[in-house]
Amino acid sequence: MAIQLQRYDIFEGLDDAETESLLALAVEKEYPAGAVIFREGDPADEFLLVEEGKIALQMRLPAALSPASRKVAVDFVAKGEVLGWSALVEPYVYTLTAVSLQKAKVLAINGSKLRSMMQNDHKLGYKLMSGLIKVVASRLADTREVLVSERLVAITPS
Amino acid sequence: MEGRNGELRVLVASDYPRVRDLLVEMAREEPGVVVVGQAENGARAVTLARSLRPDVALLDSNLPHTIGLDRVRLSRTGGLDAALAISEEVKPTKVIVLGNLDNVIFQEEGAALISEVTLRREVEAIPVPFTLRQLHKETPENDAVIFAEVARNRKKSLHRRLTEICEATIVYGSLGILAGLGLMITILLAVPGAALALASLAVVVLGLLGRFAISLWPKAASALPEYGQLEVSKQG
Repeated sequence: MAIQLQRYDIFEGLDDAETESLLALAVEKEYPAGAVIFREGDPADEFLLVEEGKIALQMRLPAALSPASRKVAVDFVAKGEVLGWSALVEPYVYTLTAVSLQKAKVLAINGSKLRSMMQNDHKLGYKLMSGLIKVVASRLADTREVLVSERLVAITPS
Repeated sequence: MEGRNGELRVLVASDYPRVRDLLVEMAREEPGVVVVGQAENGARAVTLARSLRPDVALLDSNLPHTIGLDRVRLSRTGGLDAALAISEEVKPTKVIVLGNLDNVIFQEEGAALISEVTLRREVEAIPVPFTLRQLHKETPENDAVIFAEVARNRKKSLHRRLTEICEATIVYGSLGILAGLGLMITILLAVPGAALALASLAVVVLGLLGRFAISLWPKAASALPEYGQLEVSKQG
């Protein structure tokens, strides 16, 4: 199981003892296709590692843009990736809604217990936050790629 | 609302041509199902749904949002967005989102796979196969989007393999029959054939002897005087 956690980028650099202590906080959960795993605005009480499946992340459109308050998919995570990192960042509220597109299996780590562990073990906390920064930076780069591509599509003559 | 003669009108969408072919073939296997449109991205799927108003929209969850974004990883969430838009705006179209097409089509080999998949969804944690017509008939009108998957149909695979074995047996068996008949004809004609060969051999030998004899004949002809030489000898 320790090897299972170490394949996730956010846990790169953790030693076996640190990984074992994280596993003690983890619970395996399964979701059918179409299930809402968490909603935008809910308290972020779990940090999730995707073991199987594909999960779409949706954002609610502002009412001014969409009277029907439709959600749009802005990201997706697949096997080997993490979601729900809002559980580690104030104000600990999910900023997106997660919907499984396929049957999904996740390892759910309790957010408040993880934060307590990080506060008590600063070395572990530093390693986790370093890993988290890489995840967030990667997501930001992907989002910029979408923005640039959409602008190019908008200005390219058809 | 179904079309003329109870036909079920279906829209399919995926930006992979092989996947679109799979969805079209799978839909057409059902009697009375007509594929009325095909889309290669989410925006196009919504546009076609609005104009064609199909009974069922069958969407790949991996659709890019619009043209030109198919290489952008994060844009491949267009399937879900298109599904939500169609289910809200185009009633009573039933919308099915297939979440595992990329796993099934690209991780498993074989063009034969196209004829071996069926639709399946979880009902109380149990995977249940379904047809488009069943889903259209049984799903309540206010259901938003149905999340489903494609799965290999083991019975269809076995059926296909057995059919291939039978067809190969028929072909090779037919070739064997022809070879056997040819052999029988050869055996039946063995005696006349041998007689013909011997007679032909005799004719060849005669021909060779005659040619030899003719090759000797110019030596005998050179002893007779030429006509002109006879006249000179008479005068001399």
